Amino acid sequence: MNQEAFLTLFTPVQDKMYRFALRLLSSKEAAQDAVQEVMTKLWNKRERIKGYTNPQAFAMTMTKNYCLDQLKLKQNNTMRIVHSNYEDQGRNPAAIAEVKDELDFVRKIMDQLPEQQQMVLQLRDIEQQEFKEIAEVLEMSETAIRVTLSRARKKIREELLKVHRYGIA
Amino acid sequence: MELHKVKELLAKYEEGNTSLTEEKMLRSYFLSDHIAPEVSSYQPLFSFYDREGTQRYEAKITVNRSSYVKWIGIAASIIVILSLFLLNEFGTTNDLGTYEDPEIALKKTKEVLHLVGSFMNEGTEQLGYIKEIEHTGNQILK
Repeated sequence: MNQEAFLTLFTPVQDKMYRFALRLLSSKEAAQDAVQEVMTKLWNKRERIKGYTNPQAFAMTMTKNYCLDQLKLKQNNTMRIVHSNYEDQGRNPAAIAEVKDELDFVRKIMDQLPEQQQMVLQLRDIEQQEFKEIAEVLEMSETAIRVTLSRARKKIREELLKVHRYGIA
Repeated sequence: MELHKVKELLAKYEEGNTSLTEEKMLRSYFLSDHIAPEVSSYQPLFSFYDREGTQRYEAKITVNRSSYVKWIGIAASIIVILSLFLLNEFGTTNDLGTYEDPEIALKKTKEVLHLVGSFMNEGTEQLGYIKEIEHTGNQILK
């Protein structure tokens, strides 16, 4: 596979990978690094990828694993992934404390969900993918995904109703 | 879409049982301007999802970055080494100036030797202290 064929294959999925990484890592720089890293890894594996039926799903799975590894590293080293784009932050405490509008409040709710739920929501409600594809990317069964999704949606609804009744706290 | 239909879909949505088409219907309903107040608490959620989906990866992907960086490194080190050699060859000169006439050369050499010689005995008076040290030492030993 030459470079051109490789890029034609994976360029369409780049944005999705980036958004996915951004959801989990909540920093633009970290998410960009993640996409670049995964792309480099894919490039090194390009001969093997030819045999895969769904290389894009494989790319997404690699992005997922990379991001989860990064999060684990971050936890172990109690090291913050460095980011400077504060307007888009979820997980840093300053950004959580300061909620600018309703949409940021939704982000805040979403950031507090377990990673598994965030990933399912990201792929289903934002990327609008079929359960079959999500199952492939996340390496979970479709039933497990439905359950996770339902929990996440209910949790978000609950939080949203609180805000709706009492205003943004 | 009528309100009862929306509510029905929302209930299904929360159970994770809606199809993608049904979810698209919900999304377009909540992105429209006519949302029933009863369900308006969902509106920020769907606008959030809609906005999140528009983010783009803006950086440029470089796939064979490793070899590219390697070659840049090799090229840079060759340039550095070459420039060091070339600077040595042409940048410095061994010509320190010389005298063609032996007489002037002798005169200048003498001048230099005199100059060096004039500094030869400078500081000898400091050696007086050493004598003093010897003196007292001898007394104790007696």
